[in-house]
Amino acid sequence: MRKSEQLQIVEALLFASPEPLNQSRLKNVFDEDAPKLSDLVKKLREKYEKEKHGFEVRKVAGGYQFATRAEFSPWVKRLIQNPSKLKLSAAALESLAIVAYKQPLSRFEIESIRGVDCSGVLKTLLSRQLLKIAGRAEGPGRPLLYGTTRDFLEHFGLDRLSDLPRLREITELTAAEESSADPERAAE
Amino acid sequence: MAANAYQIRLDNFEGPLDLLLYFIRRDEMDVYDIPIAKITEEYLTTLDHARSSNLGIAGEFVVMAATLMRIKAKMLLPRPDLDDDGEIIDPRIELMLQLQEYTRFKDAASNLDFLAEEESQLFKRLEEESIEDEVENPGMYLKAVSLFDLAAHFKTALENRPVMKPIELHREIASLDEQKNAILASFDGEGKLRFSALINKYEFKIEMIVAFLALLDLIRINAVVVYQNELFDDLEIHKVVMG
Repeated sequence: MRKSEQLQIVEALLFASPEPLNQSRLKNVFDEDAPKLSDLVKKLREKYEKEKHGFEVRKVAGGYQFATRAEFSPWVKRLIQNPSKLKLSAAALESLAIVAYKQPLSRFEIESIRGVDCSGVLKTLLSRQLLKIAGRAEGPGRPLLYGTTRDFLEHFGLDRLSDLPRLREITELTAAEESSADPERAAE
Repeated sequence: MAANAYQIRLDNFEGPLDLLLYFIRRDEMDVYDIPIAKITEEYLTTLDHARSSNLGIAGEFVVMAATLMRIKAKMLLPRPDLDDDGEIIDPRIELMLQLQEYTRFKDAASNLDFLAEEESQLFKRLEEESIEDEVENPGMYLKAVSLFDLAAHFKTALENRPVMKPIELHREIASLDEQKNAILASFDGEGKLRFSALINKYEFKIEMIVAFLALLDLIRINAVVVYQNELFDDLEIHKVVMG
């Protein structure tokens, strides 16, 4: 198989794949002599860059996918008028953030950081498949442990968990306290 | 007082820590030296407002009110708690750490929100999986089943199971020794006894079980032997004539 043909096949696979394409999926397609996906993606990216395409290949959740380039989103939005993206509540985001950085952890640990009951919001996040049960803790009651899913990575456009923005250290927080109070919080 | 200028609505906050953080930021308080009397007063006033407007107050807010008052009381005590090195323990330390930890993740949550917003600006060549596909192709559907789903189904199944009618339990007196004697007394003139005849005498399961155990015990002590002529045939118990 010629190199150029391989490139075309991978381009077709990226176009058709319902989820980010990764090396193990490529192996299923090519049987034995699967080419190295990252090398081919690099070539595709160079090609699209040179030819100034309106889309690009992104790395997300350990795989590659086509996405429109950010600069063209105003035009794409005119075409796709109902954004199906789910908007997460503050409670959901706080809980997700805690799980993302400290997983696997139990509901009790999440609640002790947030200071409120989290059973409802965790249930929602599980059913939306942003969180999963990642096992059980040793110790009394063997509580369920929560972890993030691949959908979580895709939703936030992350390749790996280590791509999460760095969690600020406690010593850095004092500087942030200068930011003023949020006036939207108060109602008449 | 600032809190009276406008009323603060509790349901705009993600819990008591969020509310405290709001006071700290609004009044530019020092997180490392929280003016506990002031913040307690602000907090309780806010709760009172919520109560007088007949709004339900979540339990967490009440717990925090108690915590604040306990800290305030401890600060007033002439004899402070000392740690192992004889240093004075600040009664506020636990709350302070909790607030800082919460701040970190509140911060991280807004970072995530920003990431999601950026991500929603990009459009992917991913087809929405239609529901018909999932039904026609059970394999696809199964793939999406998580442990959580299974647990939910199990719970439903448990809740839907038929309600059992209460039954009265009688304690049946069936002692092993009595049963052994009963068996030994049941042999016919030739010293034989059919297993079915023995077992059919009993009405209750526990009696059958004890009779069976008694039989096993009789075999063990060589008082009886058991024969079977054909596979699945009835068992024949023979009394061993003691030499």
